[in-house]
Amino acid sequence: MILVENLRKTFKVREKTGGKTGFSLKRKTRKVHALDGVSFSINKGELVGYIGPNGAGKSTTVKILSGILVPDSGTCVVDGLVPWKKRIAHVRKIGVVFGQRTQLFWDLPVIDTFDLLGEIYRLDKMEYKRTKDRLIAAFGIEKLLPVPVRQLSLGQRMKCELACSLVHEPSILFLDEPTIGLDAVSKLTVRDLIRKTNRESGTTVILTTHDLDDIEALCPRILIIQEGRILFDGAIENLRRKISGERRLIIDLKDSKDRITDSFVTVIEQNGPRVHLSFDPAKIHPADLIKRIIENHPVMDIFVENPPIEEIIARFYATL
Amino acid sequence: MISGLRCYWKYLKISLKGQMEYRGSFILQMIGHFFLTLLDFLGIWVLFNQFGKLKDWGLEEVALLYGTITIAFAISDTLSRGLDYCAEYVRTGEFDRFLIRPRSLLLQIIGVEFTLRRFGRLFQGLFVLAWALITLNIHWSLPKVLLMFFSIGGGTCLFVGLWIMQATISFWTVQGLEVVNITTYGGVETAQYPMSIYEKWFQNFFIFIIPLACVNFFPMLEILERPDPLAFPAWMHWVSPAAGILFLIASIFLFRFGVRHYRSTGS
Amino acid sequence: MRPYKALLLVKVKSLFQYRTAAVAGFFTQTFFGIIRLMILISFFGATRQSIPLSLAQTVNYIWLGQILFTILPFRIDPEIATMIRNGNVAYELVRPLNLFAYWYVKAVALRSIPIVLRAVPMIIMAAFLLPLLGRPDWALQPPPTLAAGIGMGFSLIFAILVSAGITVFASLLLLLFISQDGVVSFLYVLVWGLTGILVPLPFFPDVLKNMFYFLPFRGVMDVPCQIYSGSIHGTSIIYEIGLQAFWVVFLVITGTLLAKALTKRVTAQGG
Repeated sequence: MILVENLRKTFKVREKTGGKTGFSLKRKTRKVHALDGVSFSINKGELVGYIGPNGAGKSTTVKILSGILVPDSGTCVVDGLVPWKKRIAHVRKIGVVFGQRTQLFWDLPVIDTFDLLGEIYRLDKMEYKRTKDRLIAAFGIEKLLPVPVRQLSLGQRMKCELACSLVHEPSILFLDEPTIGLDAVSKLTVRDLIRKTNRESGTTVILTTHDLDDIEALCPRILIIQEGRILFDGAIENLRRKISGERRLIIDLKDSKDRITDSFVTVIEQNGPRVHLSFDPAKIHPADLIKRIIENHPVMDIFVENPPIEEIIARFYATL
Repeated sequence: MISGLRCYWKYLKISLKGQMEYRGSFILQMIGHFFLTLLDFLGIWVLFNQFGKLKDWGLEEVALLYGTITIAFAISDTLSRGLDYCAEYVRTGEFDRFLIRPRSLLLQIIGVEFTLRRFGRLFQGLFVLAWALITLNIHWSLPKVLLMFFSIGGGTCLFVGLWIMQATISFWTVQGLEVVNITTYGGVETAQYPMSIYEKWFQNFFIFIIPLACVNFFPMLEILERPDPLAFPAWMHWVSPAAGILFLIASIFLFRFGVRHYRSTGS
Repeated sequence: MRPYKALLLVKVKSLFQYRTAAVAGFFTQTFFGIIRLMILISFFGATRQSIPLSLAQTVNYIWLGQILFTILPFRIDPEIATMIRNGNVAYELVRPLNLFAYWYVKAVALRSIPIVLRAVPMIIMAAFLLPLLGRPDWALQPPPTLAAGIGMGFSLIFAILVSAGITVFASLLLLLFISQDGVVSFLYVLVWGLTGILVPLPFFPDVLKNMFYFLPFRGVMDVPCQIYSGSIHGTSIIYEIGLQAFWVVFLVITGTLLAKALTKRVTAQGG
């Protein structure tokens, strides 16, 4: 479906030399390797999270995959086409949502953008109407259609953006920060819609985001890129295991003076009756550990916790 | 091609609908534009009032040059908004949005806005042209009428070509693009007067490099049945507006070259 | 005075960032200067009538107009325009400063700094480069008398003050009226037609010329241009500069009153 091999892209960045005043006319150019041999493949119907710090090469990859940029070298085949060689044929099959920009006409009702897109993608009238009705129902945006875009909330607008990028039933959807700036409820709705699109229409989704909750909620597979190289490709669970086998346990003790000492656990902190523990599941099975603790200490409550993904990623970078 | 036109028509309708959201403001702007651009002609009137004649040209004849070039410029100006914003699209990265649509880029960019309020200038040009035609007493014939339309059409193509070139430059630099105004706004001002009053090097620039004289001065000489002070053959006056069309085609090729540059540097 | 001084410095610094615009402006102004020269030289060549300006005076008038282009109050301060559009202007109105004085200082900087960047290359081009290129007849000539030179200097200072006054006055009108596009395009028409940039004002018919004396727009460009080229001379120089000074005082007083009224209206509405 998507096959990327050894993509390279170098940008020349102009740097101003010459001090605070900015009056110097001399300019130095510096080469930045945005992509330094990136390879991966994505199958039809996958939902992949693409993460990395700013400037790591995320958006360069997405731009190449969507046919906007031409790479210096390397190959890339999407659905049998090379994106930058057959731009028009290629973009007909992809949908793109930029979270920080809008494709909707600011002063006009959403429905006008819909209709224009139908025309731009040369959709057959009947086919267009069917897709449109289906999307409107699935996204629950019936009531938003006659409202001028400038009057919509950010969350409502993002729902419409997503629906609009699916009018031509693309087989691949690129989402760039689709939940940026959204409130908690809208974030959940948008995630839901992304999952639904992926499952029901079999659309391949590639999601770049800084919000790791998005990734955890949506993506069975992640790609981590830094300084133009793919550093990790696989399931979040594997990353977790790779970084640390550690699991967390939170225990509320009956007696706050009680202390847990066990050779299998380390106490991270204790706040009155609440104790945070970590342990290695390879050495002791969680069920056995819990049994041991309950036998030795009077316990009110027990929670099992995974280290949050932020921490995993941060530790992953630290190991490099 | 047909589908392209249909798509542009759709863009046009959407653009008009958007502008109609602010109807009152847009009518005011159109009236403002009418008077603002009419000032240029009043300036010419002031000079003729003071000096009497410009070489052997009278105000009515200059009004004919003025009216035709103003109409051509005004039509191109209604299409130019998106091209004018091209530098902004490139700077903000908004240009990528056009690249992910399965349509010609120029169609999409020109489709951004059909600027209705710039009809103010169009009405003003028609107004001056009508006055010139009423006072001038031209011996009309079918070829002359056709030449008139050819001249305005060629002029429109030339100006659209210039806007496209300005947009093309923005793929390399987004600063200092105002210099292109020398050829657009400066071009209109130049072409409002007979080419023969200018210096030789200046005439050559506007005949051979940016063929403004070809779309306006030369055909108008035929319509006025005046001898050519620059001594070009008569057949050239009849075919010269085609230079505007050629200029437009050249600018489209340059634009494509610019897009290639953009897609390899992403700047 | 301290807040105004600090403001002025910040403004100066940010305006110096627009060097590319200055280069582009230089070419544009030179080009338009040359077209206007060619057009007017042709007009002079054909006429037998007596003209209020000589050809040499006209050449000086046109070049000086192009050099002074950036002081013309075509637009209000873009920062203030943005604030008015998005409503942030409310913060400006409740600041513990005299609104008119505050905006006036900004406007003086806006109108005077770019001219430093633009005038020097333009003068080099028009006065020295053109004769070297074999067009001494197109070149900007020195003023005919010492009085004309000194008078132009003073008149230029007042021109900037008048222009800043018009700029602020227009900003206040923009606040007052609902239709902003109307004010903006109206200002543009007035400045384009009445300052002498389109056609030197001495060429206008007498009826119109007399009317121009009742408007501040002459003071922005026409007066310094005419003093420099010598068509205003002798004691008229002092009279014309006095008239400019009158317009400065007039704009400052009416502007301050208008600003006070507007501030009161906003505070009364509770911001």
